Amino acid sequence: MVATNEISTEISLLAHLMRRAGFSARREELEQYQARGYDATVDWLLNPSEDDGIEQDIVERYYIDIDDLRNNDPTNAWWLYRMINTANPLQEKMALFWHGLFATAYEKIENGRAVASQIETFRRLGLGNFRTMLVELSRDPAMIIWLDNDTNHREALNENYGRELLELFSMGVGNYTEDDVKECARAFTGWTIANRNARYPWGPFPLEFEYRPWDHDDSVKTFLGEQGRFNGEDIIDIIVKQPATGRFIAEKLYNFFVSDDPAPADAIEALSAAYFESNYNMRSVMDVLLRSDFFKESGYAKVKSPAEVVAAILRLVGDFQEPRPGLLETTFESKYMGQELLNPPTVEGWHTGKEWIDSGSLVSRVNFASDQVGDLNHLGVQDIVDRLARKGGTVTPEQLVDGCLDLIGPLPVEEKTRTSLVGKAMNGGNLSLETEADREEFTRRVAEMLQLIVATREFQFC
Amino acid sequence: MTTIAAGTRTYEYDHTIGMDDFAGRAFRNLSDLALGPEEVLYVLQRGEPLHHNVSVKICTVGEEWIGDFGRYGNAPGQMVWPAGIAIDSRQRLFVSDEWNQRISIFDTEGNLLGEWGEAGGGPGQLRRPCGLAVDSEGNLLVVDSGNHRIQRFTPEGQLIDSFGEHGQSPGQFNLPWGVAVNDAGDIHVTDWRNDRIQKFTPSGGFILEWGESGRGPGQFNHPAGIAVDRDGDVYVADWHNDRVQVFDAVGEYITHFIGDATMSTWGAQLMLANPVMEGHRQTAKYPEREGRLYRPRSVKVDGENRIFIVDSNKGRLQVYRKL
Repeated sequence: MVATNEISTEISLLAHLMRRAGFSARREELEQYQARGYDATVDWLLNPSEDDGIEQDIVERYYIDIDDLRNNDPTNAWWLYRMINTANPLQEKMALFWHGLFATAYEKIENGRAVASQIETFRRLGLGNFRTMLVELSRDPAMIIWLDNDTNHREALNENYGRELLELFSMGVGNYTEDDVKECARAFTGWTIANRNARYPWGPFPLEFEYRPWDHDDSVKTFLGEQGRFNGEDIIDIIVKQPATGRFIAEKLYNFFVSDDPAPADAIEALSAAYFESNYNMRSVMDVLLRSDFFKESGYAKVKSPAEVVAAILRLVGDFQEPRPGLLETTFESKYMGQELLNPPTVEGWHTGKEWIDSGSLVSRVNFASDQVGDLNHLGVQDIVDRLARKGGTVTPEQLVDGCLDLIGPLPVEEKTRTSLVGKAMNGGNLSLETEADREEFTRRVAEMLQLIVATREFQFC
Repeated sequence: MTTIAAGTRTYEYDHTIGMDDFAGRAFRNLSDLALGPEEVLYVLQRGEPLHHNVSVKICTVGEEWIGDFGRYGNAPGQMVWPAGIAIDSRQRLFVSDEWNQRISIFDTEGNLLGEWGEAGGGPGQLRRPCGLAVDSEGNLLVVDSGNHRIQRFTPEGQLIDSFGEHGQSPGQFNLPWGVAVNDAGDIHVTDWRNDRIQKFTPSGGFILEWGESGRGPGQFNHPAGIAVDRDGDVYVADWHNDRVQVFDAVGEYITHFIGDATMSTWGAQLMLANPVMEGHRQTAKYPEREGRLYRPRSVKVDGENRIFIVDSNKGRLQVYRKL
């Protein structure tokens, strides 16, 4: 019997780390990390290189719409390409985390470059100081449009941004009053943008943060028990030092990186302590998280998000390692599974965990994964075939199943799942590699087994 | 009217053609341009399957809309990643396709006359063919970008000769992009990833090179299209520097254009019909930025020394005149 959450080997543990702190890893990458060791791999993840491995000039030359980033589709495609090819996986995963938390939708922004710029901020500051992140978020043109702060005036408040800053971005409900919301909104009056609607006839004018002192309410405010002539940055200074903010960030990180289940108190305490001890530094918080027992013991405790499904499968099979047509259409797969990146349904982002799965989205997930792993033109699929073939001799149905489960994850499955897979494998009997016809049959059956595995319940978890 | 005086040369901004959109009388994702007779322009843009937008749009220098042709796809006459376009003396349009690895030949009505090309690295094979130019013999110079070389073919696709290989030394290339021929037949190539221009004899013998990476005069950030005027001056679309640089025949820097676009006829009609849009435009901050070049991918010069800049990410052409 193989438990669904078992992490039994160092390779398994590293695969778990890369599924959570990145977008999965191919076996040859896992072997490199194994030689490095778990702790050194975490060090590497936490300290992204200046060179992210993306040949941006090549991408922009061939993907002319990504060179432009006029609207949401190429902007989304650009992000997927980065998820597949980045040399800094945690940096990209942090960007996805912050996008889920500070959920901003293109549908209202209608400016691909502004949305891309926000994601770049998440990439740049995702492992940095949370105060800096909130200040830049408050100056971000896409966020200002999304939560209407450009209509938040000294003489006519719009509380939208002030409210969500407290409720959804930093502290959570129950930790502030309605008066705090109003005072927060007042502090952000005058924080607006230039050129919101000017976009014709040759594309959008550049959106830019603009501070208008004449529209800022400079009077004394009382916020979370403190009093002063607070501006936006003062408000953020007060927010980040609240115990509720430390707990909030800890809970969000836990639910994104560790488990769909509520975080236990000791985990919250450990992460929150790291937040305050490091003066709100996210790298320090993630350092504690990725080395914790609760993280290491959380294998397959999360349902993969659609973005993770798509990026991880494409990384596994080795597709889009360089520009080719079809990236835009592939980007839509995540949307069909229920997650259109850069276009979250509401400011609350997506409902995650088991809510990712319904009958329609499950069919989309399985079909996409099955099409990819069944395509023998993919180098990643061929690599799995080659690794299994290297063992030589006769391959029994059990060995075929176990070998494929190992190389696609390693993916532990329930005994009944394994029995079912072995049963299907037994229909074809033992496999041999002696003749050319044998090898062709072997390749076909490996691909077929991979297709069966990606259709299992267990494969939907990470 | 913007006038640029540079030594003994004077340039004047003339006008702007087009507006940004996928469909109909507009341009998007522009990659190249061919100058036909009687003031007709053949504007190449890269489509995408989701919008089924066309590849070649046809209008005049005076911004009269004529029509379009070319669909996304792999079938004969279709294009996936069209990159370069050139026209010969018999008014045949040659279009390179970086994904289908072929050259398609059309008449000026868009009827397919022929198609040739085979993927690979061998003689006559193509890997991501890009810039095109017709030489004085009527043969076609093809920037075989992925093979880091220039190949010369008859219009029917018979290989004549080739030169270049991957590298950084004189005569070598790293993903070259554009090609242009001067009146003497000398061949100019933008060596895209080496940030330099190389000039060759008509038979491909190395003459000189100029340029290095950077933003200063004579420096490049991924030079793309290239053209030569009737005096031998060279124009380079300095793609990531958002400008077109001008050099004399030996590579001495003369001047550069950063864009001076004024309202086009099509743009003006759009704004006239949408006064709210025009109101937003009139109150925009940094209005001067509207006229600036944004990732120009190509530049062409006609027999009157008019310079046509393909202002790719703004969906328009900017026209200058050498006085």
